[in-house]
Amino acid sequence: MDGFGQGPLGFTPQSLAEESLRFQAKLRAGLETLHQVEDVDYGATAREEVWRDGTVALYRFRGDRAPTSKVPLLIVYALVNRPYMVDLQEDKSLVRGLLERGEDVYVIDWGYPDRSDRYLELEDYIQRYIGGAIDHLRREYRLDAINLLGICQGGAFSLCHAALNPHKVRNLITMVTPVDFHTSDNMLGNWTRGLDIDLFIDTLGNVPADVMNWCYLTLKPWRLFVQKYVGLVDVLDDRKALEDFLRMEKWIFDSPDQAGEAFRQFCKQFYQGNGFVKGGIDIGGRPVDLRNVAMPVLNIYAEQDHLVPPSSSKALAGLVGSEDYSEVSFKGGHIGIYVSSRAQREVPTAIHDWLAPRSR
Amino acid sequence: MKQDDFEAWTRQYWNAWGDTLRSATPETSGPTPGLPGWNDAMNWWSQLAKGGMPQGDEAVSRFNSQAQGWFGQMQQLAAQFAGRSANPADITAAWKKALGGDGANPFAQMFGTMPGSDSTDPCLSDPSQWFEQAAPWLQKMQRNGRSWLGLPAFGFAREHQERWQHLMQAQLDLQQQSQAYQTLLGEAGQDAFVRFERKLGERSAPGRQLESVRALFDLWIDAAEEAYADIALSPRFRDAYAALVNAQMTLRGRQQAIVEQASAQMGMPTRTELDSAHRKIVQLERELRRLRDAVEGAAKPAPKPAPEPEARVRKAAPAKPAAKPATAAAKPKGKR
Repeated sequence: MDGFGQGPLGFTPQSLAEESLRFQAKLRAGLETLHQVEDVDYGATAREEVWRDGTVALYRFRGDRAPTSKVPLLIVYALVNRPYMVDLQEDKSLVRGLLERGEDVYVIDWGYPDRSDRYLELEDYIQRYIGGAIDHLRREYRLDAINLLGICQGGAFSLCHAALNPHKVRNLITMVTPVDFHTSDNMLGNWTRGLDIDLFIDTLGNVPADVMNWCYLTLKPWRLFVQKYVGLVDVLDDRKALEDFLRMEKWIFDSPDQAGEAFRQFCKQFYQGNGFVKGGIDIGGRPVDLRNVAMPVLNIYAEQDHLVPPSSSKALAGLVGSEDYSEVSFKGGHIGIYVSSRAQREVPTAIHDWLAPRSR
Repeated sequence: MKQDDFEAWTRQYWNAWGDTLRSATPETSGPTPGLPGWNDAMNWWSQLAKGGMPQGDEAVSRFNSQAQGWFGQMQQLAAQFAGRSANPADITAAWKKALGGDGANPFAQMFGTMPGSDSTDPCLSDPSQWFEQAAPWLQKMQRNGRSWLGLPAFGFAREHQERWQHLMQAQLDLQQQSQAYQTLLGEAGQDAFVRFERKLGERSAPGRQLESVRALFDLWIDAAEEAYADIALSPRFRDAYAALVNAQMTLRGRQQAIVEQASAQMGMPTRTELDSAHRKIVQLERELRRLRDAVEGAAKPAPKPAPEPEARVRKAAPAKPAAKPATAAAKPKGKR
């Protein structure tokens, strides 16, 4: 084979044949394992519903031991995916990690909006639902303020709520939260800016979940449409890994529709208007000014986040009024920050260690 | 279809590789033909693999419709050059040829294999495919509306005719915007080939060679994603994307208007009427909550005033780094 080894390809027909056989062996194993998988359900931790307003429910999560923190921690997830990502499975659970460290954890579940929810506005989500859940906890614990952890869009909502009701939030944590929507590396921001949002919502009503998923997947189409499913073959002979893969698939595609009016307001005020930076966010007639976010703030971002680039999250530093602001940079992506093994080690610890001295 | 079929394919496939091995000698010139039976075998496998959990079936379907074809083509490319001295330009040219030659638009091909690309939902679809799907319906509606289109836009039929004219205009506009979007995807595709060749060049250095089909495949994915990101972050893409979605929404809205008109004539409730009812319900609920809160507020003693945020912040511990996790650094902002 004259010349072999001088180009970029270092394989031979023999080695390719061996690779092909390994591929076939995986496929063959998949015929067994795909019929054996059972547990692709989500949720690792016991929980109980403690408050409800329509389709929105507040759950308290129970760990193996009683919480040591005297201040409850309310987790607010995004509207665009289901919140069980924070408690996906036993070895991938932010909630479990926080409970083990003594936090008293609550999560808002937004439910699945239907056509009759089309006219819900941001005020409903930020003041009525988040506010209702916070007021419930304040009453139950006889506290003036509780700890709030907002994730992604839920982080943007939490910032709004904290700015409008600073006396109700003792400590604020934002995770992979978009703040500056116009940074040059924000693909979603770039795409959204030219859309006629009024036409979009007037036509669709609620925004179908499939539309949202399509949009997110087309941010990295080759990786998410093609490469991921070639990678599936790698785990076909490993039942546990296959179950993890399928559970993640379930989460990705189990998405709620988006209430039309809230979506319209979010796109216009945040994605197009870049309201946290430029001003102009109006929630139920009240302007949002991040200088009112004067409580301690911990901002956690992911270094390889393709949905919310770090530059978008880190803009918070220059906008909040808090004199006690910290950042944690996580080596991973937007999803890895919940489910990677690194995340299990680092994220609950970072949150708890930051909260503990500020919650006494 | 049985598992035996799959085993038989495995043997057949192994023989095909054997043939490839024999043909891949220095004396052989030109690429070897593609490996036979890949797509059929994958279809068999997909059928055999289904029947477990629904999530498993869905993942198998996605593998079969979205991934296996691309990987199979990459296997063919690898087989053409295995064991030979091949330069990046030749490999890239062969890959381009496999995907359609100079006019190859791998992005359009890839989007076209997506579930939903044959859907009638314009937001889920590759725009050109959706247009093809919708065309028969639109043509039928156009035929039905032709009598209206032939009338001058005044008098009794004026509104009907205008609705149809608007629909046809929206249809034409979508075609135009769809082409503009496809052109950008085409540019990304051409750039992906350039980047692929460059990356192959970087892997020509001793010790950096690609040792598997999978590595070659992943290199293509890297090149394609980089090319796509470059275009997708550009103002040009922003404008084309917005124009496309806006055109889709306009067409859909005009379709809905005609359906609403027809429904109303049949005495059916329309979406506009439902929306109106939902809007009123939400407004009534809001008013009710305000009244309830006002009544409850008047009945309760005044709550203990919460401490002023500013005062509490001043008492808070000075900014200090969060306890440092293994690799995550906390950065205190400090006093401003």
